[in-house]
Amino acid sequence: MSDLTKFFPGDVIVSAKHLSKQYRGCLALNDVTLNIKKGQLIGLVGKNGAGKTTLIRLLTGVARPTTGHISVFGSKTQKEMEANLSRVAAMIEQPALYENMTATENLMTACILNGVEDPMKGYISDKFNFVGLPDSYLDKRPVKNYSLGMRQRVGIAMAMIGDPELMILDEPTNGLDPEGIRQIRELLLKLNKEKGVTIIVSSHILSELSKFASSYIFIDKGRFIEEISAVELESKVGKVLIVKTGDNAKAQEILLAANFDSEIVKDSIYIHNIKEPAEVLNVLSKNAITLLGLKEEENSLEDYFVDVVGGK
Amino acid sequence: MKRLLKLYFYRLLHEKAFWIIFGILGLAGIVTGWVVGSAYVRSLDSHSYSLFDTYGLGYYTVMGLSFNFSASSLATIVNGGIPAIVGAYLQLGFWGLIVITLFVGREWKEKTFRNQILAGQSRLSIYLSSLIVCLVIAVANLLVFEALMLVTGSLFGTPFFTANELSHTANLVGKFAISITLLFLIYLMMACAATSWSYIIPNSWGALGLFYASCLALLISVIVVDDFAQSHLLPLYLLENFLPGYQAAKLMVFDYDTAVTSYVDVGGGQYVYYQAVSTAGHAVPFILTTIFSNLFYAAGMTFLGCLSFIKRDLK
Repeated sequence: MSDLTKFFPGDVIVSAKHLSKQYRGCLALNDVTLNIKKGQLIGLVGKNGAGKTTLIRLLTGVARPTTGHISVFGSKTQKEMEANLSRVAAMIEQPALYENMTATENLMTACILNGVEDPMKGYISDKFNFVGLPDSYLDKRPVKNYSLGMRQRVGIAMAMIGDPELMILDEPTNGLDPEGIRQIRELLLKLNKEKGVTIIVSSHILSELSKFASSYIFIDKGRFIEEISAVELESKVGKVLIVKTGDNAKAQEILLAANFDSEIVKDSIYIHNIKEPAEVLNVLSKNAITLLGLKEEENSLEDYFVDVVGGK
Repeated sequence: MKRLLKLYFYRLLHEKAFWIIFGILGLAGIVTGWVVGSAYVRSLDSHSYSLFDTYGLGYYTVMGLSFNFSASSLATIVNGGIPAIVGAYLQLGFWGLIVITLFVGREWKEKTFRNQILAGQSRLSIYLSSLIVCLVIAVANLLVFEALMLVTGSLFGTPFFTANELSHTANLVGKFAISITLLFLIYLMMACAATSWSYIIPNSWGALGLFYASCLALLISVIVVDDFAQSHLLPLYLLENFLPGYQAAKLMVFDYDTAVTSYVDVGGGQYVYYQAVSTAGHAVPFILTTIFSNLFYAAGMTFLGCLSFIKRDLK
């Protein structure tokens, strides 16, 4: 596991140690250890069935780990963890709303639970305004009649009640149209920047995650794979120059000596984090390396994900 | 827990099913009171029924139950106990259980238990708060029926709130509403949770079926024990007195025994027999046994329910 403190100095607010979860003989999560630091906006990345939702269920106290320990805001016991969960909000798969109630009544239930006093004096309407649903305050329709996008936003407004310090969202853009996805993304960025809320988002849409996440956690088949900052990822998934030479081993040696991040993959050399391809060509030609082929590619989070998961 | 209770009562006020069923039971109470009152007026012309019998017979006629008690405790349970529990709860408690099923089932279906956990509430608080609200629903449903029945009946001149009516109401509330709700909530939580139980009782409605099946099982277990007790096995006979099914059956008889002190033939082919255990001088030990056994079962069921819910993964 990489140490995120070098990228995000600050307090650890969630710490999971050797977490495992078994469901009727199936190991959904296997010895996962990770730390979440205050202020991060983390993308939780994994294939279907990788264990993302299980991890979120454990972090939110909805399910109990088979083995391992979770500490939320420094909790040491189960009782402390239960109490500290009041500083956490979550939306797992779909918002947990009372379908027969209006949006305002749903937010009212969250206010009651979080001990918000006089919520009808602007508190609830503020939340609706923040998520872009100003009209929902007076809407008499039960939320079961709302569109998926509206429900997601009501869910986020509800999660904001009590001003949580950590928000965990499992596939919040599921089923949303591109406009809805953009709105949710902007909303999360706003929450993170303006309110300082630490956010963990799991999503299949990696291109979307890459637009706002400040770091990523990769999991696959229930196992922790890698934790990486967006800065580090950018350097790894930037442009990649793929060259074929007459002597790949010698060429790579020369490139490494010239401080190029390169690796040999099959019959080619992959040179990462390239700003000017001409620099590479100059180095190779100066050393009399015969160039057989050259290709420049834009790498992406998806490519990196496939590489990382496929490589393990 | 205070916030949870506030939330649950807020939800209850917004639960249409609760108000609809509350209304249905209120209406049923008025109709029953009217039938009981009419029977009482007619009885003044034909028989010398005691007021309680008029109330009792009228009431149970409306409930569709027969009360041909025999001297045998086995027969009492078979003839009186099973119809009393299954019959009364099919008609009265069933409605309360529907509200509870909807009320608690909704938390599972819509996964809103998560919101409560994330508000820092412990599983124990969630279970106990659910239990308190379910008990309020069950008791409120029975009380509105009883109150409106008695008020309507009194318009016809039937006595209002005699010791017998109060005793009967207390039995319904104490025995059925409380103990059965405790038991039912365990089934409901198990039925809703994503565990192996969900294969047996796949949803909250399945809990109703399991509940009635276990009521019958409890009574049958009493019959089996009673069969042995007839062979003069005193310890077993004493043990039998503490079984929940036996208690439920006995209390239905207890109504009559404490009220009808010198009365056997109620006419129309109906007979009431004394039960030795509840005759004069035995009432206090009987009541203590009842209270003790019910407290024991209530505590046991609550403990099991809490334990089951606390350890359980939620959906």
